[in-house]
Amino acid sequence: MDIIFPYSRKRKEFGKHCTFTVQGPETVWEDRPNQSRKQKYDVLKMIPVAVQAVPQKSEHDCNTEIVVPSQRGMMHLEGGWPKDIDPTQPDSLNMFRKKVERDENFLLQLISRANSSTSVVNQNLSLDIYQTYFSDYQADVKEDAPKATIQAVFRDPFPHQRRWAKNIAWHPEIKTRLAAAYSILKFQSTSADLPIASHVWDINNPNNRLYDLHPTSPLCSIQYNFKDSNIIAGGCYNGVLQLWDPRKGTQPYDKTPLEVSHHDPIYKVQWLQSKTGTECATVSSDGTVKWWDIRHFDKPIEQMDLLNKLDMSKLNGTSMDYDPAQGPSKFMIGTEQGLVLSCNRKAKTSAEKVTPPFFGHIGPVYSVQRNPFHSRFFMSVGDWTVKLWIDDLRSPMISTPSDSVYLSAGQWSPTKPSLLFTAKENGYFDIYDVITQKFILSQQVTETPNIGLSALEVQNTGKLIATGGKNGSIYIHELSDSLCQITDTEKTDVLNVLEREAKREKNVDARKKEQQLKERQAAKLEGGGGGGDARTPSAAGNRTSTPGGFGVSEGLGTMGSQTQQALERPKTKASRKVVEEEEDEDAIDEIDEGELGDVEKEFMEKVKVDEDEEDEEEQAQEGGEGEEEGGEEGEEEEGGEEGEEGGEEGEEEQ
Amino acid sequence: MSEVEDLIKKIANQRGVTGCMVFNNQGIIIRTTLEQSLTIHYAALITQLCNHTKNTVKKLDDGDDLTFIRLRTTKNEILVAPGFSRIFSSHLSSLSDRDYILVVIQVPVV
Repeated sequence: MDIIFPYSRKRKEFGKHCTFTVQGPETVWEDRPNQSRKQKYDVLKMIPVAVQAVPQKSEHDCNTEIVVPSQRGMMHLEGGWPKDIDPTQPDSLNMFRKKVERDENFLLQLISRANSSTSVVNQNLSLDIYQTYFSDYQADVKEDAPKATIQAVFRDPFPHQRRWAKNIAWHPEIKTRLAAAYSILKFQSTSADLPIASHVWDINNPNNRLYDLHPTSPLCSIQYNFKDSNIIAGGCYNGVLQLWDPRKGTQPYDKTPLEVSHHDPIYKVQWLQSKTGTECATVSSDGTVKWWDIRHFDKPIEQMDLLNKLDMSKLNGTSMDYDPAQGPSKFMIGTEQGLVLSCNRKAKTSAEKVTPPFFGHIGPVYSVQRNPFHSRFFMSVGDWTVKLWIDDLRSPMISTPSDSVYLSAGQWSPTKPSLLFTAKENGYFDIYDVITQKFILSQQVTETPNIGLSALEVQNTGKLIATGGKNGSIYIHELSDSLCQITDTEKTDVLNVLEREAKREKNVDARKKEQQLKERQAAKLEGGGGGGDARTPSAAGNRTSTPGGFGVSEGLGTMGSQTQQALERPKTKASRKVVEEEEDEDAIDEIDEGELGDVEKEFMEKVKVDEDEEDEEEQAQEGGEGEEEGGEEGEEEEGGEEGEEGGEEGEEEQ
Repeated sequence: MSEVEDLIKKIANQRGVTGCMVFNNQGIIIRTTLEQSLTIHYAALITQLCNHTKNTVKKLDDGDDLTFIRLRTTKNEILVAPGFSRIFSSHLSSLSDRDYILVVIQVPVV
């Protein structure tokens, strides 16, 4: 039987605005029990029945013959004597011996054996047949082509969720074990059924994980304790820091309370080299660094806010590097805003705690690390480049050419000071050589380029590298010997290269500052004078202000005007662009300077100065234009030196 | 008797030689220049080693036989002369050459 509830509406009322009113419930249909039917049926008597679902069992016993094991020992002092001689009586033994010696056979045999033995003994005396030759010869590793082969792949046991292997930590003692933190850091990608366990793997067993760690929220960073490799610290997605001891089980044995933890995922957790080995630091994108003592986890021992000193804006931390060589309280932080900070925990005032930031990156800095061999230099990985820095300069010394994809992680080789490993968003794993300033190896790690790499961790032997992909797989690479063994001169070579770059950058900086100073002075000199007067002193000032001998390229000594100006060009590039744009505007030359304010005047001076520089250059070297332009193109930051050399060549040719 | 003694002394006096021992193939010590317990130790171990090695060589190639064992260890060199059957010249034809083992311990000094 169909229950129909018709609902009608007048056509002219279609589309009208609904005015809702409260309506009481009304019964549309009800089905009441039919009493007449009841008479046709009898009610059965209720009988309780018990049912139990239990397996059937029976008992048997039997008796076997009992085998009684017993322990016996045997001691051989001397043996082999014939049955008729009693070994305890030395007389009978001696008699036996004498009998043997009297045997003529004995002597003959002995003689022949003695001869062969003597010859061998003499041989040993004259020559050491086991001598190792060339023991100090080192295999020439330079000829070995750099190779990184994938040894093992650990696939995520829950692949359909597409978790990222976000952070990998090698076990400090057991060389084949590593712990991996799985989470998804893409905004709002976490779903309710995302498996939140993280795993520990062993290379010898790539198909099954060793054991799991069950946090309350997916782990974003993980690290083994230096002192006690049974303690693992994991930073969670919800900002809580948790500790595990694998011997105690898969649940964390301690965790920080939610109120005092971070408000954002903990991007990096780092154990500190303290005497007790119980301190760790965490950095998170909520803009704070917190230090914890694992014995008192109820609140952090210390906390520091990351502030940009220049404009006092809050910065979000995305990576941290703690280098014990620099000191127990100094560390580097890479931020989401692209700035790198060098911080000192023990500084007295909060101003000294965070140094002015290092500018350079345009995107979040995902990795920052000091060179393990030369701790004044550090590298940072973020946006599309890797940048190398020195403590003293706020701008990067060397910057790799921008790649086509984002770089997601990077680390120095712990054994070779010149190598830098990076992982990219298209699944490539690259190796960068500081000495040649080139990428020496680039390999596709993941199966398809749309699966990026999200983590990279080098083992402290330098031979194995673990990279984690965004599909949750972890790839273990083994490097060829040439990539993990240090050559003799490498440390000094790297130091030379880095110092050279640092010096160049410092000189460029110094020149820029001088230039600005000169222009400011020139602007002050010119109250309302003509443009012509402004030009000559400042241009002349530029030329004569070069200190003799830059020393950046070898043996430049005193430089001619061309190379000077070739050097000056990078600094004034920005203003030069303005010049080029405005060259057509003759109006600038004609504007009455008296009407302009100070700032505009300065700007004007700058523009005129640059115009004049260009004019003078063009007049001076018409023949060498080709080289100059070649020099121009080379004058990006890394190629500053080539530009100078191009300028030098231009000069020499003339 | 004295010839035996002379021979043994001559070997033991060579440069670098720390000891010289003679066993029979049962492991019974006939003559030794080292102290007794050590010699017993050597006797037991070396006769076993000798037998094993001899069997190995014989089984691999029946016509082959073990002539000498030279054990270079980190501390010294152990020379074992087990004797082997060779084609004797006529005056020694019917003699078996396998009854005794001569062991010399030397520290190679070049």
